[in-house]
This record gives sequence, structure tokens and C-alpha cells, in this order.
Amino acid sequence: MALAEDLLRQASHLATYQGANPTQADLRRAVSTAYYALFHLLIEDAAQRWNGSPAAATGLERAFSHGQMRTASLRFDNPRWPDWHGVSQTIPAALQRVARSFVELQDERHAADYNNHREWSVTDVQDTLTAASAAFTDWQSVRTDPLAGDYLLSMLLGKSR
Amino acid sequence: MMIATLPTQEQVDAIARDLAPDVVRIRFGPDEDWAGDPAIYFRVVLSDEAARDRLAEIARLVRDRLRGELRLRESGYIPYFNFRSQGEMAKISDPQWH
Repeated sequence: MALAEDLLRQASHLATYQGANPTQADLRRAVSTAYYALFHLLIEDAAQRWNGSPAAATGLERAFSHGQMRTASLRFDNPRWPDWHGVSQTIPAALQRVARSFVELQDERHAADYNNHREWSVTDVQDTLTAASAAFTDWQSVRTDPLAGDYLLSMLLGKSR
Repeated sequence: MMIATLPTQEQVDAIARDLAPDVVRIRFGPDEDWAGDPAIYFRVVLSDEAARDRLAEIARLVRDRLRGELRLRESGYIPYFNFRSQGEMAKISDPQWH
């Protein structure tokens, strides 16, 4: 997960390297980078579960789309999920938080990259960075749970079950 | 997706008062998010001290209280939260925050 962790560090650097008065450009790039950190954390983890060639793993990473990942995240920001056999499964709280953060960070990223009218505050960006960092921690705590694999697969397939 | 009634400003104000003095005020409004889904955006003004010293803690508390007490999961709106300090409010003019 080297790229994901580097992106998270870069996001923090962008928000802080100019001290108390970062530019709007740096704040926007920090928010966008924080989202991409979580995006890469998840797709790299999915690729690690692939036993095929490295080239195929790269192809698998490219198969993820932002929209499908968002749709899956909305499904997993719930206490329960009907699994691939239709059996209701309890979603761990940490996984719900990851899914929730993914949706929130993605919306922030769109605003940062495309909404030129919005002014960003340091407080808002620090909150975004904290949310991304917490999502990393939550993911590490839950990534071996079978439901985490279901979450990744749902993100890839774009199907509810 | 079924859309339920939006929370009232009075309901939101009651939560803000309960979290004072860390929370100065909370404004909110419905909109669409980037994907076109119904969303509700909360704009939370924090005291300078809370924003500087306890941002992670108070932001989590605000999210949990608003999500839980306003039953946002059942509302059909996806909630989003933005935070500013009082000091930042003086520098950034945006009528949606006042």
C-alpha cells in the first residue's frame, strides 16, 4: 500500500507546508489527494488478493470505477448487507465507517477539483485529512474480515449481490 | 429512493446548543451531491479553540449526534459535513454559512 500511504502523507504536506496561510490551490490539492489515498488503499488491497500475474493485477486495479465504488460504499454504510446468497450479514462498524468516509471524501474531491466558487478553510481540510487517516486505520482493523472482501468485490462488480 | 421530511432548523439548533461552546452554530440545506443524489449539507461553525485543539473529537461528535438524532440514514438524503472556525468565518464570505 505504498502509494496510498504516500498520497496520505502528501495530502497532509500540501495542507501544512506553507504554515498558517496555505493557498486555496494547496488546500484543494490536499483534499483531492486525500480522496485518492483512500481510493488507492482499497484498489491496491483488492489487487493484492489476486493470485494472477502482476500485469493482471494492474488490469484489475484499472477496472475499478469511482461511481461503482461509491454505489457499493452507500450499500455498505449500513448495519446489514444481503450477501451473494441473499443472507443478511452484519457489517462491522469499522467497515461502515470506511464506506461512509469514501462517499464523503469523494464528494469533497469533486468539489475541490471542479467547484471553483467554493472557498476552502484550513479547518475543513484538516477534517477531511482526519477522516481519510481514520479510514486507513479502520481499514487496517477490518481488512481481513470476510465482509471487507465482499465490499471490495461489490465495488469492482457494481452489483449489490 | 424515498425522500422523507428534512430536519428543521430548530432540531439542528437544539443539537448545536447542546454542543456549545465548541459548536457556535450549524446551518444546513438540501442539495444534490456530485452524483445527483439527494444530499443534505451541514455547515458547522466551531469555536477557534475547538477547531484548533479538538477538531477530530468534536467533528466526530457533531456527525454522530446529527446522524443519530435526526435519523439521517432513514431520511433518503446523504449527509455531508463541513467545518469552519469562527476566525475563518471572518475571512471567508459565504451567505450559506450565516
